[in-house]
Amino acid sequence: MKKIGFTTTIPVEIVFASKNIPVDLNNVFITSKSPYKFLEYAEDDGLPRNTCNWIKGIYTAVMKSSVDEVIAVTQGDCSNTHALMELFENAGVKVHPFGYPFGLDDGYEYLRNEILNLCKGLDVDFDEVLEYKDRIDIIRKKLRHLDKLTVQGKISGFENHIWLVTSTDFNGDFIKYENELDKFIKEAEKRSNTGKKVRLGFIGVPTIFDDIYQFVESKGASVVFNEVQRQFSIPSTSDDFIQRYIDYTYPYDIFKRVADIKTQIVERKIDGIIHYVQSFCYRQIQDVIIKKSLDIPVITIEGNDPGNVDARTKIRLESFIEMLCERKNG
Amino acid sequence: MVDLGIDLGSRFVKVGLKSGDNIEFKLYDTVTFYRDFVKREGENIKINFDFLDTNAGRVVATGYGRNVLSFANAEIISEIKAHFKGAKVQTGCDNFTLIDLGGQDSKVIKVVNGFIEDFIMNDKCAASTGRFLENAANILKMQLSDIASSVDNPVKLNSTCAIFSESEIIGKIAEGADFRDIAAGVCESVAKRIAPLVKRLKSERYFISGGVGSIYSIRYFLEKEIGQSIEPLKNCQFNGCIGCLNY
Repeated sequence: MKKIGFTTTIPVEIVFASKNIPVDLNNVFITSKSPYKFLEYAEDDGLPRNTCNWIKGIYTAVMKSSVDEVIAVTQGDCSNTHALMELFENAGVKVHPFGYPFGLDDGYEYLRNEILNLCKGLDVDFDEVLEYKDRIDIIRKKLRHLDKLTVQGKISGFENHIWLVTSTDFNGDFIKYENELDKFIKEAEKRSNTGKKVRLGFIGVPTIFDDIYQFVESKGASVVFNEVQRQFSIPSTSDDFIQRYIDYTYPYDIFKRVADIKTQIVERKIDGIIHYVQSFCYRQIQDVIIKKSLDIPVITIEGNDPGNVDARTKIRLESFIEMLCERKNG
Repeated sequence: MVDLGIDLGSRFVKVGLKSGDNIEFKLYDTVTFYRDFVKREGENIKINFDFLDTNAGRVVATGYGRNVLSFANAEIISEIKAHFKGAKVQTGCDNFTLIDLGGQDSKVIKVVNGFIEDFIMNDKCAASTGRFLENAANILKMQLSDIASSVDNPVKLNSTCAIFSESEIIGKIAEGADFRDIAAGVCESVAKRIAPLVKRLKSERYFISGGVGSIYSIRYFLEKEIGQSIEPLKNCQFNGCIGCLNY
């Protein structure tokens, strides 16, 4: 049984079907005791200071032998992964490239080929993958329920973030994950509605700050939507395994994401959006389109290093929440 | 007894003292203010009102310290709220964009129908603020008042960093550029950094506040950038404390 790392969400059912352990490399980095050390290690090896820290974290996670092989998403996510893949190959790590189709008319066929290639690379039959799909679908359904409880104010934005973000690899063991999820949902269902007056959504890549949810929720707001984390949990209910990963908005163009965000703003009655962007990430540019496309207030928060939210960002967030409160109260 | 509105800025602490209809303003160096008038009493941090001739009534404060410090004897409101309220009270307007340029902060607040519609604050760089102008004045060995009237032949400055721009200014001096032209260039570069923020929050009417807001040449270049006139608030530097006094 090998540990198969991946750089961003991939059809994890394939890894489970191959009887290996999936490992989201982002989670290895951010949940480590000292994420800073991961960054220092990568910079000591020559990775540029002005490169996204998630990339450096992934680099160190692999170089420190957290995994045996790597699935590198070379299309549909950060283009820096191309260079990372080369570094890994150079270091003798086995790499499986995987790409999501971008701007292709026959996106479905493209993705189908990528999925079949990955099956081949991991030596697994596609029919076996579909068996795992049916099993994991039970958990995905529970995650959709968890997300609903968040909208109802029974689960905090941070709890929602943690459960959805870890569903990329189910912490390597979906049975254990499901047991813990069952326990959590049972407890949460008994909670009374803790919803606050201002309802916020987080969009963009998951934040590198470790206390931003706590800060925002301590200022009288509820986070009722985690855009990308929700996508990481693959919310599409399509029976078609390939179509499901076509419906998954994160690796495709911004317009698909905007359409999803707009629907959720209405359904979840969201008052304001926090657009989190990572320093040196190309996704920052998309902020222009996001601000133009959404008709509720959007504040853009940029983060670089792991750790607490800085005082200036706190001032901006707090003022944003105050502004929304006043608008809501008329 | 007086009511107090206190704006704890990074360079200056501005205090408004209100008794009846009369408001008096005082300006303190920030570090001196904290040294002389902020005291720890057990678990609490309190403002010591020894600088008053009378007793303090209601005290409302704002400023950078909001999330760092909480005073046991003052109500704290956010800077955006304070500056919005100050501008609303001072102008009597319900629809405008306020540009507040302080010691290290730049804020642009759009107000529609008497409510804050949107706002932008600088977050990573202070190259468009008072501290930047003070540094430039020190290098040029000019008074801020002389810089404030320099608008002709601005020398182009390219640096996007407050510190690197110091070496760029020295480079221009070495090239033999006129000091007043460099001063005009400094003001133009400040305006160019602020303009994109202002353009994102367009309004029919623009007001400007903060220490830097009172500088004519900054206003001159900013008006050129946005193509509209900008009206300085009457008590430019004390707008935050007026906002506090009216909360």
